[in-house]
Amino acid sequence: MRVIFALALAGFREALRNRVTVVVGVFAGIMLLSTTLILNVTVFSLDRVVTDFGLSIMSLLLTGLAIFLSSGLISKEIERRTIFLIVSRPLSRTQFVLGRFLGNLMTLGVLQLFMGALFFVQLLIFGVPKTSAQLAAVLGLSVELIVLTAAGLLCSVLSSQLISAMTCVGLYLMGHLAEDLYILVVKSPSALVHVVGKAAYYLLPNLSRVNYRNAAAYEVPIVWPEFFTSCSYLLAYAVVLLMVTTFAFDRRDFK
Amino acid sequence: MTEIIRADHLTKTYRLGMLGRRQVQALNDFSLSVAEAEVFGLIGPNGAGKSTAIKILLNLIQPTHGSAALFGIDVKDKRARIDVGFVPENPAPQEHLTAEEYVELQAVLAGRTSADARRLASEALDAVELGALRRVSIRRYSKGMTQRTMLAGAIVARPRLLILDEPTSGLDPVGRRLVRDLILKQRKAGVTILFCTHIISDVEALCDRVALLAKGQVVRLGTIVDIVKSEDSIVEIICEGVTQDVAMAQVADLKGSVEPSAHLMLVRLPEEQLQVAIRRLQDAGAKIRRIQPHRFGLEDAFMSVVQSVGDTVGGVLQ
Repeated sequence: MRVIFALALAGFREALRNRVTVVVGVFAGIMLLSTTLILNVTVFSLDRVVTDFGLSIMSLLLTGLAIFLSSGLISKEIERRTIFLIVSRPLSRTQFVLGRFLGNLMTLGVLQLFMGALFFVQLLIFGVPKTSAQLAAVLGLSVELIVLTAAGLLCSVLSSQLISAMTCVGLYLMGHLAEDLYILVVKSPSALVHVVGKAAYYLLPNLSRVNYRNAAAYEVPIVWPEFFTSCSYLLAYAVVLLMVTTFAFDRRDFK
Repeated sequence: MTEIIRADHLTKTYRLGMLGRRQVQALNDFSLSVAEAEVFGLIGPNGAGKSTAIKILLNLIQPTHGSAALFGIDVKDKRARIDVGFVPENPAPQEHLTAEEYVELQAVLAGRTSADARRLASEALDAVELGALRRVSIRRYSKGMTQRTMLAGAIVARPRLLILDEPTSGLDPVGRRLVRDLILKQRKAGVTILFCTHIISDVEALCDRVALLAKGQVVRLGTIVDIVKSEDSIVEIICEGVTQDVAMAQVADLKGSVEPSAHLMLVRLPEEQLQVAIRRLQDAGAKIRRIQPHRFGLEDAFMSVVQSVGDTVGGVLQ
């Protein structure tokens, strides 16, 4: 456990000193604080705009950062040969994968805490009532980031950063469109489309299940058991991705 | 003597291309045994399989056939690497970390507690003369400083085996001296050292035994004296009074060579041809000044191996 934590901490330190992370953090702060400007050019109610804008900015930036960081997590280390210095130590490759995964989550977690705090302070300043849907949206985003990080890590073991990032973006988009895909497939008269479409639906992570941003903007009451079921499903999905990552990483040669 | 490294009939074949139809054999029936407290050098031309052998020993790549063990434990078992320090060729550490953080991480990964790691890291950084710059980010370091940080990371957990892949490559004379001194210090402390390099003088100065690799195989193995002895016995005749062309004409069919040296000629040829050569040279008007055995260096042995195997850069294409 100490080894995994040491690797996670090193990854966390590295990511925090990475200019991209710093720029994203600063940009997020500026964007969240600029909500007052949006208020002057919108016809929607203040509550809705502050909630929707804050959550969207948080989601967009953190998702982008999660994909950027995780997709290069292992491929860059292999490319630069940094991995030689770690994997040659007395640790299993599973420990390495878990260390890197947790390090990335620590970075994203700290940034989300910072953005989440700014978001809730803003709600307080503008006098927007706090609802359980806002909390569900923030927690749902955390789960989404866990899945994307696990997916990025798997892609990173198998290919370069660019291809990994593109695959992750595709997975993110498809994950949010999974339910629409299912509806389209059901309506299709072709049996082949049925089989392929349903297979894709069950294989893709259904990220829209933890997307509570609209619910937060429209103050829809949250059914917590359903929320926790969705979270459990996606967390299990992330665990499976990590297991596949470990399996693939265990068999890799580092030339 | 306890056996620290054992490699049995290792073979490694890489597949090339999308379909893997073409193959490169990087190692071919490679076997090796290194005893405790030995400084062992792996030398050979590019593509001979040195780095592949080292990577198999560290479980960075898996052999196609054969097995290897460190301290009697199969290299696939992580326990085999508990007492091992490693510096790869052209190392690239996590550049956003400071030297102190990096070396501490290496100690923790080797199984030390955080407090222990802090103390050991401080000692290791002092040993490589980086103590004053320990809190500077590695990306601000020069190549020599980075290499010293890697060495500190390798020795921090006081390993019983050090594996160094080209440890002095790209270093200035001061850096090379520091690395050599460090190796000698580790050797004195009873640490077993396996290193591969192209710098023959380092091997001659540091190694107890050497393996010469070519085409993924060990072609010569032993102490430097053994390897040098195994060359054919060559003698040198130093003479004057003849031109290079005349001297060459006398010894060409005796597998001899002639080199001018100031006003003298240096004739080299196999020992069994000595009497014939002396007679012919004297008949041609040469005055023999001196006859001496030719002293082979490791470099001569290395070059002879390179010439005998031809150009094999990148392994053997199949």
